[in-house]
Amino acid sequence: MQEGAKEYYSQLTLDDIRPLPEKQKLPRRPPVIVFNPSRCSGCGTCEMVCSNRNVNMVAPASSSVKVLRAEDRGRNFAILCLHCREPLCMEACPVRAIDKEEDGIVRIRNIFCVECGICTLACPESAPLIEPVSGKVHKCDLCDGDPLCAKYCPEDALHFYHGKSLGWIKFLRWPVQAISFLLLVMILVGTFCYFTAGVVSLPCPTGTLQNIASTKTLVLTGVGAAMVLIVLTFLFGRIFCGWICPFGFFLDLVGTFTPKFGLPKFLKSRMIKYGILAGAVGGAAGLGFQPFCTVCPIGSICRSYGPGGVFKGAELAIVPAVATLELGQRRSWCRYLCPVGAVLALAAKIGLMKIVIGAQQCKKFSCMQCADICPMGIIDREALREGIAPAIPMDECIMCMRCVDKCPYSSAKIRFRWQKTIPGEVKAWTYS
Amino acid sequence: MDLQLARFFNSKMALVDLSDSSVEYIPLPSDVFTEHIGGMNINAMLLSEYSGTEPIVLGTGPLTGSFAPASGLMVASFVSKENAISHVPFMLNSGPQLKFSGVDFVVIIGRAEKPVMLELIDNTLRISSADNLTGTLAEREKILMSQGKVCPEIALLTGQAAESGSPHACLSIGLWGSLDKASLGASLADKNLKAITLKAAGGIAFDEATIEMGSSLAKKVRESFRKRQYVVQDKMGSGEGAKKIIKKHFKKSHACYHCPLACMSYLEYRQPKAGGRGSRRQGVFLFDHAGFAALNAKRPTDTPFMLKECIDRGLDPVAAARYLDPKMSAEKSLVRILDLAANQQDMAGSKQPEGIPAKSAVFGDGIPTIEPTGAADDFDTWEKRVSLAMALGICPIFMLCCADIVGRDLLAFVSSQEEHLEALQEKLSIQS
Repeated sequence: MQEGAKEYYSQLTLDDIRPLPEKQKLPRRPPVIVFNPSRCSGCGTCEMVCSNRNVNMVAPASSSVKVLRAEDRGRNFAILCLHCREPLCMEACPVRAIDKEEDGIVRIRNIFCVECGICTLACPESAPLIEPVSGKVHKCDLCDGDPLCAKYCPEDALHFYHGKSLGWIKFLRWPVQAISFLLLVMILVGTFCYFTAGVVSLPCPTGTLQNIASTKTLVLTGVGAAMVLIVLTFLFGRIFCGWICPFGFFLDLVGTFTPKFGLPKFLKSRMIKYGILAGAVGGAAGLGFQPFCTVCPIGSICRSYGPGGVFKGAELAIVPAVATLELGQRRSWCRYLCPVGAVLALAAKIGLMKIVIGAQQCKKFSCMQCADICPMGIIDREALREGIAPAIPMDECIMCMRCVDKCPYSSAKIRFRWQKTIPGEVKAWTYS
Repeated sequence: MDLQLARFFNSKMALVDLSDSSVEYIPLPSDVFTEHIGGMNINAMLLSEYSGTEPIVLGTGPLTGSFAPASGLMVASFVSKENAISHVPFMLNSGPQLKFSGVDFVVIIGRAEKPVMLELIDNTLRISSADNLTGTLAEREKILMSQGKVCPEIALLTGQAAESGSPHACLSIGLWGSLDKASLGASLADKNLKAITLKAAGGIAFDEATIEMGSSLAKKVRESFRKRQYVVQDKMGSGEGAKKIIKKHFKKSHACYHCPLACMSYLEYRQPKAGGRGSRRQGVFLFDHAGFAALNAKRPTDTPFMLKECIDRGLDPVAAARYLDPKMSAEKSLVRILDLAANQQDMAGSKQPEGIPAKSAVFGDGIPTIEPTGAADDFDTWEKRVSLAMALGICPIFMLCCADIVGRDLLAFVSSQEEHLEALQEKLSIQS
C-alpha cells in the first residue's frame, strides 16, 4: 500500500463507513407496548411466543422480553424495549448496528452486530438481552408492528397501541389566547388592570394589593372583585397565565420565533417574583402610589391600543424590553419575575387541580417530550431519567396543558388534588 | 407404534453422584418415551433402575414447557422413609427451566461429604459447596443471588427444618413454599444436598400451530373463573373463613408457567416490629393451598403470618398446623414453629390431618383434594386427572380445577393424528 493511501485509511472513522443516521421526525403515532404490572401474573407466555419468533423454539433465554418476579414484594416486572425517541443504545453501538427507522421501531441489524453487549449497558432499561450461551443480542422489534407478546398475553398485561395521533388542546388554546388578547387589548380598552362592565368589576389582584397598601384603605367590594381571579385559580390552577393573559400570549408568539441562549444564574430563581411582589406592595405603602403598575408589562400591553396608546412610547418600551427575556428561556418573565403570577401561584398551590405525569404507560427517560414542551420548565428531567414519576409543582404550572397535549402515550393527566397521583405506578426494581 | 414423543424432549438425562461429585450425561432412547410417555412414569422407571442408591429423580413430561396451558411441571420422585414411592409436583418455572437446560431428567444418587448444592446454570450441571447457605429461606435466597454471576430462575431450597433432621422438612421453591408433604426436603438433607438451582439457556422447538390451541384453552379457562384467588380454596371446601382471610390480605394473583388459572395469591399483612414499635409490611405467596387450609383451620386470624414462618424455615405447614392451638398467642405459636423446625420431632405415624386422604400420599400429599366434578372423559377422578397431569407435565391443580378441560384437549398438543391420540389415551388410562 502506498504511503498516501495508508495515511488516508488510518484517518477513516466509523462515521465514514456507516455514519450515524440523521435524526428523524417521530411518527405521529409512535408504536408502543404498555406494560401493566398490576395485571401481569408472571406466567411468561410473552417470553414463550417471543423466543419462538426469535429462534423458532420455546427458549425464554432467547426472548426479547423478560419477566422478573419480585418475590419479596409479590410483584412482577417486565423488561422490554421502549423504542426511545433518542435511543442511547443506538448512540452507544460501536459498529452502528442499531437503527431507528421511520416507523419508530429501534432494530438491531444482525449482520453488523458484533455481540459486544455495549447496548445492554447503555440502555437504562437493559432491554437488549444477551443469550447466555451464544452471546447473541436480542431486542424487541415489536414483531414489525404486530407484537406477539401483547397478542397472546392471557392477562392483557401487555397492551400494544399506537400513541395518540392528534393533540387537540393547542387548537383550542391558541384561539382562546388570541380572543383574550383581542378583548383585553383592543376591544375592552384599559382592561385587566381594572375591568368594568356594568356592575361587574374585575381588578388585578396585584394592583389591588398595591392599592390597599398605598391608600391604606380596605374596600371590601374591591377585594371581593379581585378575589374572582384568585378563586378561578384555586379552581382551575393558573389558567389565567396559560390561557388568558395577553402578555403571556405575546410571549408565546415571540418565543415561537426566537432562539434560546439561556439566562444568567442570578435570574433563575423562582423566588424573585415573590420578592418583586413584596417590593411592589411595600413600595406602594411607602410611596403612596402603585409603582409596579406603571411598569407592569401586562398593564402596558393592555393600555397600548387605542387613542394615544401607541404614543405612550416610554410605557410601551417595557413590552419589548421584557419580551427580550424570551431569548433566555421560554416564558422567563412568567417563571421568575411576574408578581401577578406570584399572587396566583399562592392560590394554585392549594388549588383543586393538579397535573400528574408518569402513569403506567409513561415512557419516562425514553420520551421526555413533556419536559421539552413545558414552557415553565417545571417537569423534572432528572426524575424522568431515573424512571421516577416527576412531581409537578402546581404553583408554577400555568395550566397550558401542553404536556397533556403532547404526550404520545396519554400518561400526562389532569386530576383533582385528592385523586391518586400515579395510578398503578410501580417503582423501578431490580432482580439482584 | 412410534408416538414420536422424543421430539418433546432433549433425550438426555444427567446422573449426578454426590459421593464423588461426578456428573454423567446419558442419552435416552426414544422407545423410553413411547413406552412410558414421560413425567412421573419415566421417573418411576429411573427409580427402579437406580434402586439401591437411594435415588432422587427430577423429571419433566412431554408437554412441559410447551404451549399447552399450565405446562410448568417438574416431578421429583423418591422413595420415602416409609418405603413408598412419592412423586412431588414442582410448578412455577421448574419444569421448563430443567427441560430447557438440555436435560429432561436428573437422577441424584449418593451422599455428599459436605453440604453441597446442585447448579444447573446455563446448561451446565455442577456441584458446588453450600457451606454458607444458612438462615431462613429468604436469607438463603439472598446468598444465592449475591454469590453467583447469574441469578437462578428457580431455586429449590431446603431450610432449617431439613438441617435439624425434621421428618417434615420440605423442599421449597424459593419463598413460594412447596407441595412437598412427603419429606423430600428431609431426603435431600440425608444426601447433604441443600439446594438445586436452575437457569436454562436453551429451548425446545414445539409445534407453532399449538400456540393458537393453547390460547383458546386459556381463554376458555379465564372465562370460567372470575375470582381466581378463591378458586382452589373454594373447590377444596375450606369454607368462608379461608375466603375471608384471602379477601382481607389479597394483593395480587400470580401464575405458574403459561398458566391461565393464576390460582396463587400474594397475601400482604402487617407484622409487628421486634420491640413492639410499629409494624412492617410482609407478604407470603399462597402456593401451598393445603398448607394454608390446614393453618387456617387452626389459626384463622394469623394464617398468612404462620404460613410465612413455616415456609421461611422449610417446614411443612400441614405438619406444623397439627401442633398449633387456636388459643395460643401468636408469639407462642411462632416459638412452637421454630421448635418444630429446630428439633427432630418424629411425627411419622401420627394421624393424617383431615382433608388429606391416603390416595394423595403417592403424589406428595400436597395436591389439594378437589374432586373434578363434571369431568367428561376417561380422566374423571382425582387420581386419573392427577396421574395424567404428572405424566404429561401439566400442573395437577390446574387439571383438578378445570374439569372442562378433557384429556383429549391436552393430548392434542402431543399429536394431531387420531391413531396416536387413541394410543396415548389408552396408555395413559392404563398407567393412571
